[in-house]
Amino acid sequence: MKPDDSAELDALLNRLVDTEAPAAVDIARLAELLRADAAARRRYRRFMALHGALAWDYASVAREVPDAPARKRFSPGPWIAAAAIAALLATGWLVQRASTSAATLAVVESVSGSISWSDAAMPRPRAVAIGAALGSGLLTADGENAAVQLRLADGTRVWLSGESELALSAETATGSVIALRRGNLDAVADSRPGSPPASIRTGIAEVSLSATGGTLNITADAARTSVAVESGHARVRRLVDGATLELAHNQSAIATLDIRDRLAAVPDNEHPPVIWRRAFDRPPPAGSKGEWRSHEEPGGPCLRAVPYVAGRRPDGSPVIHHGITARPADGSGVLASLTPTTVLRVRWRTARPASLQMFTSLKTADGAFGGNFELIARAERSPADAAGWRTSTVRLADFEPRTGKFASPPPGALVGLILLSTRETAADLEIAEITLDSTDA
Amino acid sequence: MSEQATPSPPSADFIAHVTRSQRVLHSFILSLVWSASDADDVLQETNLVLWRKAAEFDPAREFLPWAMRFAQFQALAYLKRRQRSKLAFDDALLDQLATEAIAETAETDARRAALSSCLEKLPADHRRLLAGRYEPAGSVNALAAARGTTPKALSELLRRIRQALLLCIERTLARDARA
Repeated sequence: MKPDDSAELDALLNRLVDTEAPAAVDIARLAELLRADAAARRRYRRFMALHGALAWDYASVAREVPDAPARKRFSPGPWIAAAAIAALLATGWLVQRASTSAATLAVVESVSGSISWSDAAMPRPRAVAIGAALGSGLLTADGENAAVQLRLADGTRVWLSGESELALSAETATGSVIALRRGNLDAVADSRPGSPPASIRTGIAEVSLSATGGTLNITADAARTSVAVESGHARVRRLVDGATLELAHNQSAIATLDIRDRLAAVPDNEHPPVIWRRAFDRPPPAGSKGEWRSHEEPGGPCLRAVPYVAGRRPDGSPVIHHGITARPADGSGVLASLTPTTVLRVRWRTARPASLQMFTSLKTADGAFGGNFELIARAERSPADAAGWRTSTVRLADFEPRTGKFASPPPGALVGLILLSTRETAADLEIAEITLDSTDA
Repeated sequence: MSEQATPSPPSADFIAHVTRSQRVLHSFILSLVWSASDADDVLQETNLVLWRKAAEFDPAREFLPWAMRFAQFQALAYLKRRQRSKLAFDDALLDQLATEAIAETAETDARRAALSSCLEKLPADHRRLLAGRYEPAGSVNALAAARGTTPKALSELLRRIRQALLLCIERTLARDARA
């Protein structure tokens, strides 16, 4: 290639990508140069590779720039790259490869129940404490009553609750990765103009809050990811086909590995009802814990308690309780709105004398984590009928806080989870019906 | 009406291949269709084709060249469908560019790593300019207006920054090759 041609090629290539409507004469001349010279074609490929990489890595370019202009929309490139990372995370690859980098990706702000941390430096899980600085590794919440609050390096606050795993990694081309491998996560991001979007990956999808901030809930397992946006806007990108969906506040969506399932936004009820009831004369929705028994089975219909990890002893051995959970049937993440007079009514029985441990996980009005609360319902206060069923009715306001930050339910709180259990291993707890009611305090 | 068999979903390995190759496929498609938003669309169509063709993939073969062929076909179909063929290269040239690009996939990772270090060496105002230019839906005209300069002056600055990056990448690769 002659020097003159080289300069001309350079100018043509830049005009091609920077001009909104490239001139036909430019394209014709460029084609002529490329047809004639292998060196020109190589230069074309190098240039386009650079152009493509910059378009893809907008976020990583922008990250270094404090006053970069505000984003108009999300960059597709990092999203798709993140999908690849999420797939690797799903197989555990990234966690195994997690570096021992000392970079702090998150700081623990509160802990409730059994929360453990493992990383490449110390693969054996160990308890985490408030103030712990986390780098690359795996954070695990054991048991439905476990909850941990983190503040990520970009200021985003994250709550991991229930039986969940969150992988943190600093080892990617576009920076750190926050990946929910399973379980339930709430995230609140403040407005950060010019910053890359706060994003969280699962094995199915990548979810990102807009730079203007907001609140979302993600529930993930191996087969599907549910996303509910409480405030702000978020984008959901499905891993397998790159399909994207914009979610506005009070909308939710479910992504699966099957591209035949349409990725669609579903409006959530802006004001969840104050009354909610679930009778176990029919199977509970997916995600609920418990062994369902139908009418045809002895003792049915009911939901029988199953063992779960309620915590860990100092030596790491698990503390096992037996219980059931009630979770929302839709993707909203909410069972009901809480009022000052809300009561929880449970119809239950046990094969042997035992008290009923009632636990609830709340959300704030804007969808963030609102604390865990607990109360013991003593059997002797609720006489059993001929079939052994008892009905316990307790005020939510009487529940004791389990997370230090929330001494009482926040105003306008929403009920996200109910866990009913016994500490007695052989109590054989059965639940026939659960009701949240606001009318008969 | 006969009932169609439901295809089984691709294996985890195949999905990992697809997801790992997204960056390279996007860049490859961009070199054929030029517009980043068009490349997004073609990449999505390519992913659907790969999904449908998963059963035909031979794990003994390299995934990327196999996938890039589908990306090439999708890009060509896209250009024809959008009736932009008059403003694109002819099929023969596109095929030549694609074939040569497919033969060069081995050096993609090294170039990307070199670019990463080269970006760090750029002055902050140049990185800021690139961030504005490559912001989704960003354009030279809008950026020039926002910065109080002319599109021509801004284009020239962008040209120099890209040239510096390309030169830096080549130097980094040459240095690494000597090391």
